[in-house]
Formats: sequence, structure tokens, C-alpha cells
Amino acid sequence: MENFCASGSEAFRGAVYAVASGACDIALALGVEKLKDTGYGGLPGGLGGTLTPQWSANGSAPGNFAQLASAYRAKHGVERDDLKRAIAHISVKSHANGAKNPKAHLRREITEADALNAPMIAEPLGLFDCCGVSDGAAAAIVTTPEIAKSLGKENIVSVKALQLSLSNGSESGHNSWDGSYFHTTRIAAKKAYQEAGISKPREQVSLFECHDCFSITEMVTMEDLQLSPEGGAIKDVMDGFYDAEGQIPCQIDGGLKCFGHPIGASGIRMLYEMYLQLQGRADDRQLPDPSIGMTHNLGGSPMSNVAAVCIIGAHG
Amino acid sequence: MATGIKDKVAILGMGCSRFGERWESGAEELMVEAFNEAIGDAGVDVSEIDAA
Repeated sequence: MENFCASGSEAFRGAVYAVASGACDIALALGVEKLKDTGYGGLPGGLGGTLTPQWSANGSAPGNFAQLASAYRAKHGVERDDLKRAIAHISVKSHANGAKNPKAHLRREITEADALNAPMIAEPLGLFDCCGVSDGAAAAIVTTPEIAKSLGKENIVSVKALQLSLSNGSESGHNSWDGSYFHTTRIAAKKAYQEAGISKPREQVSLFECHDCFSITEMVTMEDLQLSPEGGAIKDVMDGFYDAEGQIPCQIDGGLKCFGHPIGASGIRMLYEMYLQLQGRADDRQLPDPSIGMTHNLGGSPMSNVAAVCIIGAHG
Repeated sequence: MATGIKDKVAILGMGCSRFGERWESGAEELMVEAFNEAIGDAGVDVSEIDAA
């Protein structure tokens, strides 16, 4: 399975559907990536098809995602420094969480000043607004709830929703999209909440992992997932709503930012933390009594991507 | 009427390798690290997995 940064969620989806269809009793989804020895600081290029070098010769991941910030500011009338402080808070929070995770790539806490004063990568994204590029692997084994029970499993965690939304990039050629949000994430989230029977996500979701390839991606995703009201993400972030002690902790394992981002493994790594949290096995990071965990895994750039939203929780 | 995936599939086991600069490990070693944790957590034999 290869679908850029969303490959892990695609593999998980294939395994889950194989079990649901009855084709398999027990199925395995596994994601892995070796990125540190590819010779690049970022992700390997040249994956975009024959014409990409002609229409997007200088496109980079930080450059593409930084434009979310410009568009968001224009749409909501946000001052540059207010947005910069909010995305700094997002990174400070993820570093604090990652420092508690023995499996995380980047395990050092940072201050708001560290984030604000870091070298600029793509305005307004500084070094600490960009996630880690890592080696790693993650695996999930799924089955039916009946088989899980017959094997003596207790506290069974089951899949509540699994939705995938894809864009062919047509929004980038149309003025109906203002560039400040992810069309795909909004569609996948809406369908996932319907599938899981969640009517008030801000009140019902216990915790989530989103695709924080850049801090600004996390910020707009909070709104795309209907957890923050439109235009309200900055206030929620600064209020600590998504901090480890907040109402809906986000990236409690450190996220892509600090756990790291081995592309094909990331979707399953997010589920791994939700699963541990729901089973009460997350050690120092354990939250009090979570019931619904959600993951959001994105592959591609803001104007052309695939978004996967998965919701898991206590069975029944 | 389709009813969706809710509560039809359970997670039996999960595993995750340590992430980071794993110069000493190849993709295969990383996969084995994650898989061994997952299969240990699941408590089933490798032969019981129907598909991967």
C-alpha cells in the first residue's frame, strides 16, 4: 500500500475491511519507513508525476503548508504575531508530550521563545514548526470482536469509524477554495462522526492525534475536525484546550512533531497511542479514563491530498 | 441499508518500534520490532494471521 503519508491508515483500512467482509479472521497491517539515510533533509522528491517539475518547480512541503497560514490570516483577519504565537504553543505542547515518550524521536522540551526565535524555514514556519523526519515501524493486528472474546481478551477496543477522502487537486484550480483549510479532512471527519454516531465531537472525543506535519497543519485541522469553531483554533490553543491537561489532549504521544514521521508508519503509530490510552497502558502519558480516540492522517499537500479519519473506542 | 464499520472489527494487538535515527537498523529490523510487540500483545501464533 502506498499513499504518501497516509499509507499506514490505508493499510489499516484494508486489514479492517478484510475482517469485516469475512475474507479473513485475523489480519495484519504494518507500516515502515527508513528516511534518515535517503540523503534528503526532508522527504524524497520526484513522486508527483511527469508534469510536476513544470508547474511546481520550487514546491516544497514547508512552502506548500506555510501558505495555509497566509490564507488563514487573510480569511480570519489574524495578526502575524498572534498566529505565530499560537503555532509556537502547539510545538511547545508536542515537545512536552514527546519528552515523556520513551519511543519518541525528539525528547527535549522547548520554550515558546525557542519556537519563536528558531531559524525560519518558510514564513511563518520556523524550525520548530516542522515535524521530525524519522525511521520507524508500527503494526496492528485486527480480528472480529467475537474472536477477540474467544481468545480471552478484555477491555476490547473496536473500530468505530474509518473514512477516507481524496482530492485530485481540482480545488487548487478553482476560486471556491480559499486555501485556509483541508476540504478532504472536513468530508472525512463529517462521515466518520456519522459512522461512529458522534453528534457533538467537541464534547464526545476524548483525545486525538492529527497529522501535524507542520504546526499550522495541526491548527487548521482542529477546525476541519469540528473540534474548534471556524476561526476559533487560536483561542483554543492559547487556552490550553489541546494540552495534555486540556479538554481534548492532542498529540499526547508527541505527534509527528516529536514521536517522528516515518511516512508509511505514521497512520498506525497514531492508532497505537490511541489504543494504549484506551486500554489504560500509556504509562506516564496516561489520561484519566478516555473513551473515544481519533486519528487524522493526511497524505499530500494542502491543495491535493488524501485524508484518513479513524475513530476507535471501547467495544459495544 | 449499510450500517458502517462500527463495532465490527476489534484491535487484537498493536506494536510500534522506537522512532528516530535508526542507522543500525534496516527496514526489516524495524518491521520485526513493531511486529513482535503486536503479535505478543495479540497472543496468537503467526500462522493464525490470514492476511497482511
